[in-house]
Amino acid sequence: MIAALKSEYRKLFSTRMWWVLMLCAAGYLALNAALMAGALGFTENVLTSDPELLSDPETMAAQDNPFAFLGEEGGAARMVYSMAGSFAYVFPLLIGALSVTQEYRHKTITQTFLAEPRRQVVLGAKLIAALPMGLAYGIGCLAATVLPAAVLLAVTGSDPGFGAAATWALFGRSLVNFAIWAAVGVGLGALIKNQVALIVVALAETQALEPMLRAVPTLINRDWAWTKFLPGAAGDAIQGGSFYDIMSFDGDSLPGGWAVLVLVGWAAALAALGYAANLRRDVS
Amino acid sequence: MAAGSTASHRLEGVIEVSSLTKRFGSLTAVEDLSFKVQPGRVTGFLGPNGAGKTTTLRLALALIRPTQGSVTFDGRRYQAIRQPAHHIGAALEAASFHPGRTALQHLKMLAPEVGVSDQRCLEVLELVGLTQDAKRRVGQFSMGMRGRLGVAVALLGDPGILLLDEPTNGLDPEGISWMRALLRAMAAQGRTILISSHLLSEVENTVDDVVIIAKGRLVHHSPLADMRAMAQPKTVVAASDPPALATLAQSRGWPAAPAPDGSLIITGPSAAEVGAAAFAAGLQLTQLASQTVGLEQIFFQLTQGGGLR
Repeated sequence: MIAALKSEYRKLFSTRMWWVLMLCAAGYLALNAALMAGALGFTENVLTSDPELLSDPETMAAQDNPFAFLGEEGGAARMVYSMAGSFAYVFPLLIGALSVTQEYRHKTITQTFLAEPRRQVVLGAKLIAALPMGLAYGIGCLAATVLPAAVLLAVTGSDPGFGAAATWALFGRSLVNFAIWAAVGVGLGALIKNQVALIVVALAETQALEPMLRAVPTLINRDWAWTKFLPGAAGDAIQGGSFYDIMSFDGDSLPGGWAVLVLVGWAAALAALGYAANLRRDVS
Repeated sequence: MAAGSTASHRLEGVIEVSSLTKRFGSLTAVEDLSFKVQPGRVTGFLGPNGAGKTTTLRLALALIRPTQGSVTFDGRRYQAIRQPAHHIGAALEAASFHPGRTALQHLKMLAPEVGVSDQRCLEVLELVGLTQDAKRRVGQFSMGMRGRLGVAVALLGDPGILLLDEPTNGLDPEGISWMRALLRAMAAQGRTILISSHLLSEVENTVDDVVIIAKGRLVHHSPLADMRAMAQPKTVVAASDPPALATLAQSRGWPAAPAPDGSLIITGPSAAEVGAAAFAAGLQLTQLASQTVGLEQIFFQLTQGGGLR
């Protein structure tokens, strides 16, 4: 297994893909985080400059008021920082998935299976290798989000939130989220080994399907609980709150520990399906 | 793991294909195929395109699963061997590389799983003559260079058994003679070499034994020398008195077939023998030419006829 892991890392770092994808993620996040930090910083300024607004029980104190976070210390900052995980989890998903589909696309899977004919070991190595890679993506994505956002928050006179323990807890949980998403990607790549199909599915799921599904209970029946088991919802729950909370108003989320289990479950289920459907099959 | 190379040489290195059958849906790619490949020799695995050669090699390497039967290496199936690349090296026709990786990166990526050091990657590049191109991206490689890199991958674990699918494809004449020398040298070290080809002429100076298949079935298996012996001389002969010539052939017991132009094709004796017999019988010959069947023609007959065993 150690040997298979070492091979996986050499595969990953010997093509340009990993840093091109990282660069895309960083650019995308930096831009969005800067815009949001500017907007939220400004809003918070307005709200906090008028103490009556914040203390008005009918506006801020309502229990499910999604803007209540603005009253907390560093609340606006954390909301912006959570964008890293909520917006960019597609990137660790892709890097994990591409570690499988690239091998089929360039047919290097043949040589991989010749060196290690136990295909479950190959898949296991890819799943495990994905975790630190996802973590590294998390660090990069957080940096790309936090640095410009903190600068803009400070400029607009808002608290960048580094003094609050909750902010550092968010960073930690965000990294866990990124790590597991890369493993989910390996599972998805095993299931959809065609690279073009995979990219389409990954983008459609993360950017359109899941946000829509998560809005459904809000619109129809708030008691529906199944959407909190969707991978994106579980990921946000790992982070503990997310940007989508103010957009979709979705109901209760899973407790952090359970959310980790649910997302790991998605990775395992997808990998098992992918193994049955593709990896154990004939390679031609 | 460093002992891998010597360990593999202590293995006998016998490849045994037994009752191997592979069906893809309604298509039977390989049917009840059985043969043995011996160490210390280069065996040519021959047949026309679509005969089932690549399928057989993929079955041997556990890349695809047989419908029936098995392929074993010293009695063990590929997937049952730990670190199999130490014992069996393979380069398949479809050997593919990520165009963005360099030759050295490609080998280094496989090295841990194969179970060899990075130093070994440089050694095999030297063996296949790619040292100069070690740090070039494979995307810039010619067909022949890709072929060499495929062989480098196969040699990475210093295996005692080598399976190469169409190794001369894309090689220039210099490359073909290099490949021949390499394979002969490796067989001389006691290794087992199996190379596939759809052209007998490309490998006839390299192989000791031939295994010929057609439509997924075995049609011939022998030392190449035995196959050469099957190439019987044929002579085209015509005389001013054709009936007398036919009588002469009959009296000598030579099988003769009339050709459309009125000449006879005699199988067995050489042109010199036929000429001498005609002279002795006082026949005036108008045509006498040797038309000996080449090895390639025998190969063609075997694969077309579905077997002249």
